[in-house]
Amino acid sequence: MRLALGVDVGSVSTNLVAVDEQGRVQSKLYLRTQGNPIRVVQEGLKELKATLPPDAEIVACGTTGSGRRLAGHLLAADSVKNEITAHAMAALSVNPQVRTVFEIGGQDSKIIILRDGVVVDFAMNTICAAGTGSFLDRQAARLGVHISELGDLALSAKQATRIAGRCAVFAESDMVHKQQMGHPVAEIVRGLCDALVRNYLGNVAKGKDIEPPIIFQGGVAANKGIRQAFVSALQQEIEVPEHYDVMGALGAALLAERATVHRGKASSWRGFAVADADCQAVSHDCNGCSNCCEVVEFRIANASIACWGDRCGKWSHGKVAEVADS
Amino acid sequence: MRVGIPRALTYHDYFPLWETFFHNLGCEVVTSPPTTPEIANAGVTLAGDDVCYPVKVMYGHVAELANRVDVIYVPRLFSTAGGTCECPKLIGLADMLRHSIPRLPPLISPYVNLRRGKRGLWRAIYATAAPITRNPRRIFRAYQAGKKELIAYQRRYQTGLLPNESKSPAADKGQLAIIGHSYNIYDGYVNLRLVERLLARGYRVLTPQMLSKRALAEANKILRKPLFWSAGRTVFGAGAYYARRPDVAGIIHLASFGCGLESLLIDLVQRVANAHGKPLLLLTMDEHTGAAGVETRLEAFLDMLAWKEDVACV
Amino acid sequence: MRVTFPHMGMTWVGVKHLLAEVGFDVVVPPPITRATLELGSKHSPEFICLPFKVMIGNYLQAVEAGAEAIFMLGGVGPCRLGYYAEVQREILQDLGLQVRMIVLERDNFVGEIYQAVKSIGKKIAWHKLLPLVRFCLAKVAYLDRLEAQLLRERYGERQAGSCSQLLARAMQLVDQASTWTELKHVQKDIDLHLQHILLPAAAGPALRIGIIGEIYMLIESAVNFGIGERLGELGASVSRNMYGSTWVREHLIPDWRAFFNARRIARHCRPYIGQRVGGHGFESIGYAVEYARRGYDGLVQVLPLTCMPEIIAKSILPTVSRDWQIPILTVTLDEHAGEAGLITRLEAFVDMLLERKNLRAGGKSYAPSFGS
Repeated sequence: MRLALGVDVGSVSTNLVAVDEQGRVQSKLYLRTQGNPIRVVQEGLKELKATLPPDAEIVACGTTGSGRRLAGHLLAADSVKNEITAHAMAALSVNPQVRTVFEIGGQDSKIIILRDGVVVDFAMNTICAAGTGSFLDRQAARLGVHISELGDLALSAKQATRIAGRCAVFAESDMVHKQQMGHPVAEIVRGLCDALVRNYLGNVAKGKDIEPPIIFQGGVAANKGIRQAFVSALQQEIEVPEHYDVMGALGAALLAERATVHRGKASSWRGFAVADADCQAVSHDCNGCSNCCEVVEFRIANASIACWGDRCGKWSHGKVAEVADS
Repeated sequence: MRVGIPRALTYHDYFPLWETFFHNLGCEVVTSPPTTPEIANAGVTLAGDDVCYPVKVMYGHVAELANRVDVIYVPRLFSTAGGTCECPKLIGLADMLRHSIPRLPPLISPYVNLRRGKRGLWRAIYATAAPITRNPRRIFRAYQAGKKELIAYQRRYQTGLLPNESKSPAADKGQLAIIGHSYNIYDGYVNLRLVERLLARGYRVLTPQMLSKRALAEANKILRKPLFWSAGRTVFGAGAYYARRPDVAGIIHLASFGCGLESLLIDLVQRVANAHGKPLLLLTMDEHTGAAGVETRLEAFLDMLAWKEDVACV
Repeated sequence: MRVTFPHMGMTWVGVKHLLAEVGFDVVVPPPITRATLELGSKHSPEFICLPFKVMIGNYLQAVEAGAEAIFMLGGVGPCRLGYYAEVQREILQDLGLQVRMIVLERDNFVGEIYQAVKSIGKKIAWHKLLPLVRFCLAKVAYLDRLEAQLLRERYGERQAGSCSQLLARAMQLVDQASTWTELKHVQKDIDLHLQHILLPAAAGPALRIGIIGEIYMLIESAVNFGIGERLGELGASVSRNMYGSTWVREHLIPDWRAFFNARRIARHCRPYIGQRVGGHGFESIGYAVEYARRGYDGLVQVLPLTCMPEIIAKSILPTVSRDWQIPILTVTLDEHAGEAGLITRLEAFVDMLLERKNLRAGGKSYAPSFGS
């Protein structure tokens, strides 16, 4: 069986997906990055391999997410793409007519506008946490509700308590205030869902032409309360794909497939053996010029594979050998 | 012709002139109602997220008028006095509105540049009247009438009365100065009824508009280089003036979040208040500010003032 | 007297030469780094725009290196820059620094310099001043031309990073040049190198992207995360509407070309904005139209958070984008801005433009090809 491998290394979670030639997800993994992307990818590879049939052959490998470069070097990936393109690709594979993609993950949220299968506009939040999954996580913990129960609890509420605040910190203090005033937890949770959606629509999605079909993906899409809040805010149907939680990885796999199989090229990927290799990333501050770049060097079995993070290209091109010596 | 005037931004400084002027030209003047939550929310939705709150509120007022008037009056204020200029957003406001609010009626948006002296003024007046009449005498008379109203309005302020007061209220607790842009001070929705809260507690409220031009100019002299924004001169001048006055218990600086000018003024006013040991409370307002938070800070500030007085008495 | 001045892109090369020649002992502030930014933000008003904060960082670092006086521009206009110096002076005073602030106001530009020179017991040789200013300007203008060329052609460099290295080298060499002949030599030397590092322009760029926005953020690559360079590395030929010498040509030295250029840009603005709004908000709109007319594939607007003139441009640019069918990415930067998020957005923007172009040229959409 010929498969494409997609890896999405985010700051909170790392996802791996194996896609077959019909674009069906054969196997998927959702792991916590826990600050160690290399080890998580390696362990993910072992786990993924165990779930695949023995005749499986990886013919393409792509990475995405904030750790895409690191993972790209680790796996010698065929494509290293940003998360926006990857998510758009994945959404298109679910519904080729899609015109709007909401993606809310752990650390960031995005909106992607597509027309006729092409991205025409996008935005992502980079500053504020009030529209992301970690905000929800945190507030659920504060209310003593498990994150998986949050959605049902929100739906059980007859009305929502209004939670004010653009910023996560203010929203939190307002929530505590409402709790102290004796609002029931379910209504607060529903208010929280409304607040997140309001923040998302008011910040990330501000000024964008939201048109159906709309696909809602990312970890937060699991939450029924948020889905319901979107539906009532927009008065439109919202589709949540089956593999909503690994769409980035799915997109990466599809992009890799496009870069290799589609163009008749062979994959450059290192194979599952890399899961057992001794890999490490070392960083140091370059003092070569005023930029003071933080240079990262990636090594497999003590052989320097790549350097990045420098602006001038002194490390990332040609001088890798010197790095190894120093 | 129905002329719409949004009750926001510089409306609070010039409305007697505008309303009388259009009225005397035979127009029906429609002013948007005082800011309501609906107006503010509409503005927040329509405007980009990085413009300041008062401009967002302006969007709301313009949108409110859009369906029920023939034209809307939004001047492009470049400079309202020689040697000064206005905030860039007041200059570009008409264009921002035109490109952000769908189905907007035509705007009357004369370019007002009084750096050019009388010529600039007359140009602005003629451009304002152009869609209605080109008769210079009618325009001149309308302007004269408007100007008279404006001066009367400004004089009334200088007697120390707030717009809706007929006589000075009994002020047993002392005087507090509120400084800031007029559209923050006189828009009760935007400032979360700050003025009323103070009046209810028995304070007399002083505003920058109660000071004469000369007093403001005098107070501004402590700066090495005069501020070149006229609003900046008013806010800073009032701050510097009230900071020196012993009969003013404290100053409340009412600023809006995202205001470019305030980013400098906050620093300057803080310095002058510190220099005179005048208590200063900074309130930064925007659509996310909660009444509870303002109330808490205000209460703490007033307690502090009272406390200070007690200590002084002993 | 040891004098310093704030950084602004590569203009330091010219300013340093000018001040040194009229008799000052010049301390160039250390190059802007993260540390400069943090130092500046710590001592600046919270909501002021980023250039102010970076400048405070420059001053503090320069004072540490021994500067006793600071040259800074003044001005009168809707933009806050004109009042920077006044507040900056107060901030430095509060920090207890013994440093003099020499503010060059437009109406007394020469007078201020004259006074400052006189105060160190030197005299300006007036007959030499004009040639000197011309030479300093030529230095900066040459670097600006080189940077513009590199931005346009970086997509074709043989090895990533070599263009940036060349520019850094050119900056050093130009800084050392003290006569016209030396400057000419430097130019020849650099041109020679240029041929080596660039591939022969055969295929042309995949994309052409225009960068517009607030001048400081555009020309100071240390605070804009090298947006122009990064777009170049992603395969785009980049044009920018502002350089360090632009300002001088606009304001100080009359120049016919600049005059006619400005008139054309003003014409472009007419349907969108009625008058200048301070700063370069007007130019941002004019150049957006200019680039769109020239058939560029996309635009990037760069502005510091709370920048008043650019916010106006930002709310009008969507109309330009719609009228001319050109995507515009707005990048708002402050001291908290993260590099990772910016790179992701730039990459996605380039991907988007490529797909768009591909589709317009009759290519297939990038919808998944599995099964087909």
